[in-house]
Amino acid sequence: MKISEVPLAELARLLRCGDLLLRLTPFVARVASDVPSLAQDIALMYADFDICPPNVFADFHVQVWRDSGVRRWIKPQARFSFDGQPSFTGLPVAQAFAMLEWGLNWCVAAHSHQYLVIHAAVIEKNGKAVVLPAPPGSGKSTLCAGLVMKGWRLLSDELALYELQSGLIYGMARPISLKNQSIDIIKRLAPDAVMTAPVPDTTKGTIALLRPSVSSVMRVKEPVQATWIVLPNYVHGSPPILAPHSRARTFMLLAEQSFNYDTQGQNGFDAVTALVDRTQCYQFTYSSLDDAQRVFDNLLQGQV
Amino acid sequence: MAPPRDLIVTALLTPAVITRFSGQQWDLLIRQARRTKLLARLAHTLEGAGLLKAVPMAPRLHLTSALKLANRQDRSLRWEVACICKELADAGVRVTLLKGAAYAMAKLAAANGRSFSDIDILVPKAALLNVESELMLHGWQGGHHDAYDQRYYRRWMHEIPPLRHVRRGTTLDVHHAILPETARVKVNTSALLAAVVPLQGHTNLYVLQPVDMLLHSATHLFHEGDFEKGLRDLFDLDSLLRHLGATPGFWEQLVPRAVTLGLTRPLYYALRYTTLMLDTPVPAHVLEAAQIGKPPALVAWLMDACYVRALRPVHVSTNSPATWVARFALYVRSHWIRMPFYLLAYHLGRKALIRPKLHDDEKPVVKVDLKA
Amino acid sequence: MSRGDGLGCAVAHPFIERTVLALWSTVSPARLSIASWDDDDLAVVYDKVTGDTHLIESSAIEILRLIEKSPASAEAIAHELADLISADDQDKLPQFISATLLQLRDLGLVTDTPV
Repeated sequence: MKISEVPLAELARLLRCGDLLLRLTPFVARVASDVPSLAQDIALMYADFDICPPNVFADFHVQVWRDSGVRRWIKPQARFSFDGQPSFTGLPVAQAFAMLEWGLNWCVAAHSHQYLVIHAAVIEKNGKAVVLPAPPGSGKSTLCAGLVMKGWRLLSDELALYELQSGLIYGMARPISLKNQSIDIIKRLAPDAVMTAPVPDTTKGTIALLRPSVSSVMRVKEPVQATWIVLPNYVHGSPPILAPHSRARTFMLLAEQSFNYDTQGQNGFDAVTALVDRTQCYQFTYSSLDDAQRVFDNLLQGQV
Repeated sequence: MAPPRDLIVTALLTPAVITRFSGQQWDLLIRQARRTKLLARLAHTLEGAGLLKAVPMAPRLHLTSALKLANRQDRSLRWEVACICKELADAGVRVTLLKGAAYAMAKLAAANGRSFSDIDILVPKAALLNVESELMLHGWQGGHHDAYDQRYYRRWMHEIPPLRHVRRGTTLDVHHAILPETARVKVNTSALLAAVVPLQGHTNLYVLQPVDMLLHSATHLFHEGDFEKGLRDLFDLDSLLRHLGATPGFWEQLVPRAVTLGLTRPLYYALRYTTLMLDTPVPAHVLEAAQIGKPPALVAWLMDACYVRALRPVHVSTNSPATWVARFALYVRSHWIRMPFYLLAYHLGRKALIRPKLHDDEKPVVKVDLKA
Repeated sequence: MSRGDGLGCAVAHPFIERTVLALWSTVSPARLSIASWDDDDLAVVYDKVTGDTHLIESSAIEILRLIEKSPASAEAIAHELADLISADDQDKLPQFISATLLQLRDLGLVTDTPV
């Protein structure tokens, strides 16, 4: 059954009881929350995702509870918990959905050593895939969102799940997080895009989450073999420049941007070597999403 | 009336039961195991019993992930120990490893699937300044503790404030005794150091002799006030007793050595709760002899009520008012036996007045750390 | 190796002092994994014992591969690698080799034993 087929009142009830089992292929998360707006955000952003029957094994138990006492009414706060262990930082209730997303990212990144978990966006079109690893502030999410709105399949915006033995990359096709000006840029680019209401004053500025395309969610079980690794580099006013990048430097960036590279030991080194060996590595400097779309389509057609 | 046996305990003691587990039971088991830091140990146990392949795929991935992490930490630990040995080569002291590092380097079963964070070493108090300065020359730094914490550590504790390596990022605890100065029991550290055993294949690397290792582990657990690792520590004791029990002379020396060192009370508790909660095989005559460490009947009864609850997994599935009360009582006791009342009041009072600092590494945010 | 100018004055030794009079070798050979690419002047090395990954110049890889086979002095290394360097860069070779050996030693990838 899909989230969209569950009445909102029932969704809210499931959340309050901690009985919402959300299938985030390849994982299952059991979500509990007493924040009313969270049910609405989940209904909107995860509309096309499945819920699991009760009593299945859940990989992660996560909770978003409102703080009790005085904080319940004065500047109400909520807190993310992992299996009953709360995080130290409470955040305003308005940020509950963003907090859930960050919390889920942490769960996957910290505990899934069957994959090399790389902080990267992964998109696919016509059977070819691009991995976009990037430290925060490089414009990765905006670029990813822009391309996904123009027909590329979304595998991930944050967490690329690289299966070491097969070399295949999996994603969860979860909402893309946008901040500040990116929100308006994407709204202009794709007026039909479905987003949460912007939430101001988070530590990252104003945040909104963008719903992934239905087709991305439908195809979430299909992994990809990476063809290109592209390091996005947003520079205000710059023309689009796709420049070949040192494989060794790309290696180091991928390793640095992996949450569990160190844990994987020799296998991690071999896996990143294999990934860099079989792909073309570029750095992409840009300032316009229209330029980006053109360049990426050229890449697809072999015209670089 | 003792609480029922928890799922993680059942799975570790009789692993074959997992073949009949439902999705819900696996769900609870993985969570309890993770919270008690016994997930990798569970994985190790199941692998050793040839049962890992019988585990359904979803929980199995958590088990193998935990094993991968534990193996990585083991390799990390070995390198770290090698570095520390080299750094202390000119310090003129024997480097004696304690706790997890000791179990790993001595290849004891207690190290299987263990997660390591710090390294603990024991040196004579007289050599402390020398050891500290050698370590600092090689890149070890004290943390930014305030003046009170520094004084607290150096005057009352059995260790100096934890040291952190600037480049490798690892933490080292240098002990000069196994219990704080202020503890009611005064343990003869020289006797411990005189009996250390060299590790084969290493230079200047030692561990406590088997009975002392057991007694140290028992002392540590039964003076402790924080039970996050309580069950894990109890399983350590179980593992040590099962493994070291095979060493010649171990059972015969155990109680007499406890008497010599003044540790009959923690030994009594160790044998009591491992046999009661984990079915650890201990020879009847040893249990009998260990009774000399038993507290007065009323205290013994009270401790039973507290420990069988406090040593349960610290997890939402075991939360109950009784568990909370038991843990709180033992928390107070641990401070009581660590320091005299007048100091205790000052220490706890001062801690209450200072708002806890939010350290970055306490937030559940994964740090990207490429050790290069 | 020293060169005199036409007037018979010896020039200062071109190798860095502390790299001379030593035999250089890699830490145990099975310990290092190297990945390099033809079109890249940088390469990466994984140290299995420390778990560290290093970014180093491809030329340093040549040195590593050489002394992995058998320990060698800085001069011997220079002699072996002379053929790979253009004539213009020959005089910079000793300095480069010394500096690289010291860097590799700092990374824990090579050791030197005094002779």
